[in-house]
Amino acid sequence: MSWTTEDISNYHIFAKEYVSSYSSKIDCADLAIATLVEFSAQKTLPVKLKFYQKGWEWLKFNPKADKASEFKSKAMRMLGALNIIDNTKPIPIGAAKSGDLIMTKWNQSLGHTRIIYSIKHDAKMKKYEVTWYQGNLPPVKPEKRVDYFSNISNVFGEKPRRWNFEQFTD
Amino acid sequence: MNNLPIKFTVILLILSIFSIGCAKSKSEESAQACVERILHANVVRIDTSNKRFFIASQDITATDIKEKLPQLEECFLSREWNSDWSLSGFTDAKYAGYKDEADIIPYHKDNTWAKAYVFEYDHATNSLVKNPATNPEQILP
Repeated sequence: MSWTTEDISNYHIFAKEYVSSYSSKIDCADLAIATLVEFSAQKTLPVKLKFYQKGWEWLKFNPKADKASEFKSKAMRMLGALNIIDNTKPIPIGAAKSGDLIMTKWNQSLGHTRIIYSIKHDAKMKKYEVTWYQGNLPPVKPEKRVDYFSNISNVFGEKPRRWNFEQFTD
Repeated sequence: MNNLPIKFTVILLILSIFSIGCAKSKSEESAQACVERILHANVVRIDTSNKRFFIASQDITATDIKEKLPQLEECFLSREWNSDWSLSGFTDAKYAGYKDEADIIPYHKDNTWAKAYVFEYDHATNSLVKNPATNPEQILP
């Protein structure tokens, strides 16, 4: 029970549909977590998300033993944008796909999560144009935004990020 | 001269004006005015897309919202937002906004926006959260 390259490709496809059709009010980090957990539950794939509480701890989802809705609620309650940063890794903008994330860290406790819907290279402008969906705080129905990547302010590490799928497998 | 009919007419006229006035104030009070009356606080911003009133008050707590929910629900009965409305509470009007907005971002430097965001109520899920951006505490459901 581990994530294959095909699973990751399918996650990217799933995320595009999921975030663009989500119709309830939601926090930005929660939308990213919900996308990951819903796909994992559907494909019977494990998820392990780390968080810091007097030391690093793991929040684990075993699709064969755990109830996806309970894990999703717990993860959404316990984790925020800064935790997502801890569970993702930077990728080059040219490699970014739907379901990858553009993160912001404003201070030690507050950040922001944007979920990439599509990305295209504008050869004329020599820039990447990103379409993303985001929840917010206060929670909103996911909003579609479009801008050049270079125009997005406060991007953490100045690169998009991808879930660290390798850590999900025991 | 018998002026009784005139007096009677005048009284009827006054009563009818009073009656119309009452009917008007009751049926035409907006959801916003109703919420402001019940909470004794100002709605400082309205987000129609997300059916949200931003409330500014130094005093209102999540507990107050919980206690006044039955009255607040009446404000939205038979209104456009009937089953799907939210109240976001901030200590000051200047903080009433979404965390990624340009005029809110400067308040993240010292975390004052997060500290000023004191409650969030969502009627669709009946969810009430105290301090949503600092130390979230689920009051409802």
